[in-house]
Amino acid sequence: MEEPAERLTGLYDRYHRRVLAYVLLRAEPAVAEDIAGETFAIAWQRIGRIPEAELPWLLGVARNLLMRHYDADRRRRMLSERVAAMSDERDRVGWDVADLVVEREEAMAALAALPEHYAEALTLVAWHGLTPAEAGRVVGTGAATFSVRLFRARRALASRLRGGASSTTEKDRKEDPWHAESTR
Amino acid sequence: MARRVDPMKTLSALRPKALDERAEEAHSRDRERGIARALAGPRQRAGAAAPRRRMATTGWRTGLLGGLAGAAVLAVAAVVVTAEGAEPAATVPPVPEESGPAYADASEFMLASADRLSVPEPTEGDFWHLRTRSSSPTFAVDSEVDIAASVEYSTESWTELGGEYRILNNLNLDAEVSFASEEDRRAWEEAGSPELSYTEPASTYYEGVGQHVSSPISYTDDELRELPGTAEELRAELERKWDGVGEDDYLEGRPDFTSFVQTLADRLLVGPVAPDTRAAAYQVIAELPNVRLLGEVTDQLGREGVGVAIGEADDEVAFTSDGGPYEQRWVFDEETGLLLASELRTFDDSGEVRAVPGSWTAYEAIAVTEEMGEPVVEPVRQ
Repeated sequence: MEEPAERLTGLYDRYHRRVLAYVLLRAEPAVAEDIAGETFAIAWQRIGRIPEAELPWLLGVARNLLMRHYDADRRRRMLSERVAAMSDERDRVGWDVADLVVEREEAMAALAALPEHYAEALTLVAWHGLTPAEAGRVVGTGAATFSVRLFRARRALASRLRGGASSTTEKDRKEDPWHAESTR
Repeated sequence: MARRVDPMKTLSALRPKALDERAEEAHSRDRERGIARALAGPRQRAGAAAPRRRMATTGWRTGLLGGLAGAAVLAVAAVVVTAEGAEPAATVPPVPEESGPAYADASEFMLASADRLSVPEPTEGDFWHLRTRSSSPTFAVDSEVDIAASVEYSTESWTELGGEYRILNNLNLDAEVSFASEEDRRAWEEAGSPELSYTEPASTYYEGVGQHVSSPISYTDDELRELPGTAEELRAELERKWDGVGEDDYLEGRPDFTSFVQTLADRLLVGPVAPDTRAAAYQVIAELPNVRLLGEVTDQLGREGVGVAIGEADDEVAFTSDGGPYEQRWVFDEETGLLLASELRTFDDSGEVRAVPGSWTAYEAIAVTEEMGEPVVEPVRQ
């Protein structure tokens, strides 16, 4: 059986880069590196209790640490600030080559205008390569709930990319499979 | 014809190309130090509550990188530990004022709380006493007027454990009504100011074991006291109970197991259960798939605690008085682990959880008493 220290080292080598990539888009570099480090300190503390879905658990821990570090307003602004700070000429050239319908700045503005939990859902899947079930574990919902959120987030982004504000509330309410009455 | 926007393709293209390089660079630069830092921290024994910890802040790390390059031993000591058997580190990082409670996730907090719970033990012949302050939507009784308003009120109850099985409830005490708008207030006044629900003090008194009616969806006080005292056995018992729930037992259909536990959770958290059962209930809740740690929060009575949420933290649904997705929030006292408040929060049009809960109950007293209290008005007897 694998020794605890070996397991921690294995986790670190497999996932530290991915945890870093996640937090580097949500915090200043020094804070991001601290949070990634603290995530693995917590992983060591709970090494015998880490679930099989290791990466979603690690990202969930990092997410909790981020939430403690920044208030909601700061978190909302951080994503676009970090993307802007990290973008370079290659991104601009790549954008032109990809022949996308909207300008890069417009796309960033559309993403920044989304509610935080929508932007989070979209980026966990599109930027960090998680499945909806894995991303659901990160944010603490089930897979089905996350899929609904992702669907709505995608639609809201599409709406903003087309230049219109999202006005899907009434439609969403009618389609909502989670519509349940309070049990209290 | 305008070309169609592909939102996911567009989004994918926004990911900075430098991101993976930055992550790789930081990983390679600090790999040994990072692993050493983690391994130097405390490790939890199987089944034990996590040691308390505080997260290091940017300052200490930057300082170490600048002045103590290669001093990995010192760097790893910067995790502060106050658990039994561990000494506080020599290089204690400053803990910012706004720093939240030091738990990795809701599960860790619930397990830690289960370990330090201190609640009176329900004893045969004594009374289980609860005093609460609550808020609920209210409506006009015996009137057609349709208004949006809520009422805040206190409740006291004494439930005899065994003995003569007496129950006394004092209800709707010190009621304060809040109308959603001036229009609602005017509509109510124009209808002749009809009585609003939960506003008139009332007392109810029950006696005899027959008043403790068993149900497929809940436990009587006697049944609560008999629940098992380990997480595994309690979970098995809750699953057995859940298996017996029918399609028609709930208005909205048969709940999944998590939702079922959620409906019973407050009874397990503040009801007359044995101390080991209560701790087991915390552990069962800790393992539910969608519990989330909210950090430091304040309950509706202004008491600070640690927030834990469960439920549909999702979706753009306007509040309606007849239901809709909601998030259940619990506020726990960080020192004692006890439940301070239970809240149901709905969502606004943008999908953000509302700051003010749709309904809430704050627990002001959870106690065992030898005597029953006095009714506030002539009680309705059963």
